[in-house]
Amino acid sequence: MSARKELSRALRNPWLRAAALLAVLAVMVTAMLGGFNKATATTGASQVHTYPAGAIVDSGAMRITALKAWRSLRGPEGNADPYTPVQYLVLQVRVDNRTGKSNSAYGNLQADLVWLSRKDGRLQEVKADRFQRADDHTLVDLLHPGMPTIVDMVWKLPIEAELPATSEWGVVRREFSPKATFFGASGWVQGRAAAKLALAVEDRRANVIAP
Amino acid sequence: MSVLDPIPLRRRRWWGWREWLLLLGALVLIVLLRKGQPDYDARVAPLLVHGHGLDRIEGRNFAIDVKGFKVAGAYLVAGDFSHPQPRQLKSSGVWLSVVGTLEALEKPGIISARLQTRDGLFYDTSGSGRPKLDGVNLTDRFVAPGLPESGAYFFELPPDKLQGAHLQVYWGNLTPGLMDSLVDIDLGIDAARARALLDEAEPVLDLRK
Repeated sequence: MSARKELSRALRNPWLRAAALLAVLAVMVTAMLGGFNKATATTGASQVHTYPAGAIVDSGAMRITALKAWRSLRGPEGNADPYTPVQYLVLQVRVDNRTGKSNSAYGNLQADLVWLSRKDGRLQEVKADRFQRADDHTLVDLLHPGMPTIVDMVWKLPIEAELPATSEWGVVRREFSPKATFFGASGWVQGRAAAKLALAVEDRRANVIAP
Repeated sequence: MSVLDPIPLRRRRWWGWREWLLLLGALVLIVLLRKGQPDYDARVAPLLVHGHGLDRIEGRNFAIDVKGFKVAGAYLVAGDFSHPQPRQLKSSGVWLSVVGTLEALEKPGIISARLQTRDGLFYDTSGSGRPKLDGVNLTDRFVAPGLPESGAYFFELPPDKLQGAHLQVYWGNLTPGLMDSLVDIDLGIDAARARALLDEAEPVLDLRK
């Protein structure tokens, strides 16, 4: 059988006609829904709103208010590292745990509020090295529900590190899922970027006695 | 048609309205059963052992004897190597210390506690370093059979959550074990008792003594 005959037979096949019609419809629907438009961003981060100091950001599991930021040669408690001098970048935030139970600061706040460091033109997410209560400077282990706490988030940087006058931090969403694990146990699951915080970083490196 | 003519056999269709009805009924039953099925959290929930007031309560492999509790605004503790001066531990709410004795009944391990408030919130004990009181803070204390450990669990919670608070005690140092016993003690704090606890609370309780 010649190829021409084979083609004409295939064109008369009702199943093949239906499949071709479906394919054309799928392409049309995809085009109508914008599936062939050029993607604007790979991560969606460009659509994330940027908030200034004092604004309340809801991440789902936490309500975060960035209060101020500074850099210093001493930690928030006023101590400098006696062995390897470093500079400290500190972001002071008010954190309100909105889940129904105490949460580990290291499991949640550290993962959900990151410093956006710019290196070679690219943004990098950097987790805080430690958390201290602003009132008594003790380390924060737990964030309790219904007890807003002012926390100094501390990043230790090389002493010669240069920082822009304004720094950015990223907040990631965390939502409750009734089936968060493979077995179906409930839990709070980290989601996509929720917001950016942009704060002027006060330079306190000249302060010798206290930050 | 004569009576001698054979009656034509009426063949029933293999799939008729009865089958559709049965299928629909089965589907409805499946959906209803699935909806009524307990979720994973409910299936593996800990087994509650109820207690009330100051008493000794046993769970699987452990027992707790609650002796009393006290509220304070802040704690004053001795300094340490990194901070030699006395230190005040502040809280966004109040401190509640629950004094008692822990016993391991069969094997050694850690016995943890949390508070459940009347509106269902859970407050874990403040860590073993807050306040850092060796021999007193029961959080993460290792308990061996035959060697009861006395001390206190320390909690931070909003003052309005004191009323109706339950102390929950369990084996291990993470969360209550799946299908393991969870001792739930109603501390007996009614509105009047909560008010009295707050009135008696010292703004800064010195724990250095």
